[in-house]
Amino acid sequence: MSELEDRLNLSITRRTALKVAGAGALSLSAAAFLEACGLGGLKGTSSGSAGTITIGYVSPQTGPLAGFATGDNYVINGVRGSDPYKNGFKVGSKTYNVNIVVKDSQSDPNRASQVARELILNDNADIVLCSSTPEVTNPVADVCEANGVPNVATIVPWESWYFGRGKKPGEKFNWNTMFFFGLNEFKGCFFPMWDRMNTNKVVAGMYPNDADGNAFRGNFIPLVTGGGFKMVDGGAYTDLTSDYTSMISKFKAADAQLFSNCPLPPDFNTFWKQAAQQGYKPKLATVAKVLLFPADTTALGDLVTNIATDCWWSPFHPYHSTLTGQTAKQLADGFESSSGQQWLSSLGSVHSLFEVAHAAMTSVDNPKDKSQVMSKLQALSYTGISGTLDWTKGPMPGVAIQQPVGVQWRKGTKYPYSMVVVDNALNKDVPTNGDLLPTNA
Amino acid sequence: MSESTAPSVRVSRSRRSSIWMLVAGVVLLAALASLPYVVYANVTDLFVNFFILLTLGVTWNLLAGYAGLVSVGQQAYIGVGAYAVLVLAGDGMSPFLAIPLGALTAAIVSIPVSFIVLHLRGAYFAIATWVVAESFRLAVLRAPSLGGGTGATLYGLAGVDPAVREAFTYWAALAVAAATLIGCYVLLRTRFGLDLTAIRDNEVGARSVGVRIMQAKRIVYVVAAAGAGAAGALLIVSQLNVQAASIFSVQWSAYMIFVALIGGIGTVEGPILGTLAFFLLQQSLAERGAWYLIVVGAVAVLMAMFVPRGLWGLVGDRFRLRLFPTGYWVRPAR
Repeated sequence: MSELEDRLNLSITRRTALKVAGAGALSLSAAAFLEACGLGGLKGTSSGSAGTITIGYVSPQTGPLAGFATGDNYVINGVRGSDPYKNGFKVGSKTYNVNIVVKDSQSDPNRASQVARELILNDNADIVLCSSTPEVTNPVADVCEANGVPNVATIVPWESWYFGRGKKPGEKFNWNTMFFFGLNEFKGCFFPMWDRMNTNKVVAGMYPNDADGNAFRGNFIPLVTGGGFKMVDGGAYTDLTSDYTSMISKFKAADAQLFSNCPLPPDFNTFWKQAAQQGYKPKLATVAKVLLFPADTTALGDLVTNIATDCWWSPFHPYHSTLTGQTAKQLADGFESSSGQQWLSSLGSVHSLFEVAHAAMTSVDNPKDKSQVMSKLQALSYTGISGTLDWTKGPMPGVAIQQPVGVQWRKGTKYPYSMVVVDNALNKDVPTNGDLLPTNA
Repeated sequence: MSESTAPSVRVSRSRRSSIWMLVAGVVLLAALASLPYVVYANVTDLFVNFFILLTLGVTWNLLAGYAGLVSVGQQAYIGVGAYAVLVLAGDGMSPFLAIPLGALTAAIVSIPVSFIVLHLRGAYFAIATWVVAESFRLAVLRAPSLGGGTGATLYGLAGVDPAVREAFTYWAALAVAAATLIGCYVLLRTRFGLDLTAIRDNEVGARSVGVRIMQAKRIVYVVAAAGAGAAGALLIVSQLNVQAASIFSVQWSAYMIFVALIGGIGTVEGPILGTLAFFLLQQSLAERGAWYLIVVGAVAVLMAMFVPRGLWGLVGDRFRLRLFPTGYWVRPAR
């Protein structure tokens, strides 16, 4: 037998087996060597510069969620130019320079986690701020929790941020806090408007089979029926359904004069057009998750008139910034004149993130001491451009609640449609500037 | 073959360059293993991402490059690996110990699936694998205990010192990548590797000389699923959070295809170079938003058109270099 043939017949011979065993033994001994080195010598994270505070910020600046971050550039430029951020945080007798590092999550949770790790490991962030939807806030919060870095989130329903990450009522995150609102505030915002309409108190519910839809189905429907209303559930439809005829007939048959939902924006566009064609005209529609931003209104045109939704920040809120002294109106006007785009509610929330960081870091002995900053964040209460945010009263530890007001979309003068405050049951600070009108008269 | 007609040749697997590479490889592995003692966690974290990508690229190359199985559904097993770790860690197991079990779960799940998808060929196979991945995603969305559409947090690492966690994550990723690479290399050097090479070069021809095609393909499919499962397990351990839409995203397949295509499909060395190239592109362009994907796409198209054998095709042929010799060198006897 030639050498060639011998070689080609090679299967898993004894020699191969021995080689593999040898390689295995080698790697085992390497592992033993590492064990001997111990874990004390691990380098971990570098400590960063002692005189500079680094603030990381993550938001979805590109991708399908980019609408939320439309105003981020403007807000962050404003914050950078504000007195405390430009001249440094004064803590006791020391002044710390402040460096803001902005990262884009590309609307992808993987990427959000990756950039959060970059902020902590590469940029030595002393605090990480993040905003807009659980797809950003939850992965970033998890990374901060594991790395022991203070973290503040906003624009995420607190239930998704809290229960969505496996906490039981009363438990607290060691390194995470947030401010926004939840299902109870939807109730507090929508029910008074429903009551003010003269209806048969039958509510149509359009809740998809996704995280938010099921949260509404499970937790909001009991609130509705407990509040003296009758609920007609349209059924758990799949996101991006193209035909809502059966749901619309169900709502028509039950004569549901009030309408509630929490769909994906394209689904609401489809549904609302089909409802108009098929003659389903509820007296009042109060929507959640859609029509939060002006960009959402263009797809529906005149059909958005007098649809009501919740609004947690607007130029009509009588609050001002702790950083720049600007009023809410000045912030919104500044954004409109610099970008040529209509104001949106996330302007105030993102600005407040930086107010919170400033408030916490300037009221501790050492802003570079992460546990000091974190204890301060968990007990913070201050009043800024989003009104009073109080972490001592939250429904759960680490959560500060904002009180939204009821708004309706109307034909505007400067822009095609604008928000008008029609109900301030939850927050009397905000004056109404219009009457509650029926969506369909 | 009788003695009289046997050609007078010397047959060897390795040449001097390969032997030096083996020595260099051992030194490199030792150096990489000691990295957490030398550099800060920001560097080891980059390497974790690199090793995950490498594992995916190498196993996809095994599938497409050798067995001719162009799958766009490997993310199904990335997800299975990740969720297996999530469940095991929820039951109190150390997430690091759960990594091999994540790979094993993916391999086990892939066996029944293989009986369905391997009956299809070419584009039909590709679409079927994607459908499988989407079905897995929809199944997870409907499982509230797995976090549904909201996603879930990995337990079991909360109290661990960040430096220790980062180091162990790094070692786990290094171990998975090294095991994948060495495993593929050893597999390709056995008789089974010869079967695969025959299938790669001509499937009908391979069948006619007695290669059991279906069995070979099934083994490769299961091995590749285990690799993807290990990568998914590493992903959840490094990110500490999993979301179904993201872990089952088809973008993972795009990454794997890119890595194999750029590096040189059907070679062991190719995916390593491809991962390196992709990684450099990703790191340098990540801040440019959508441009990053446009550039990556353009590079893939240009490479496919003008350098069909990939980067390794350029380098390896020019210098007659084989870092992982799976074939034979035949030279005249002295």
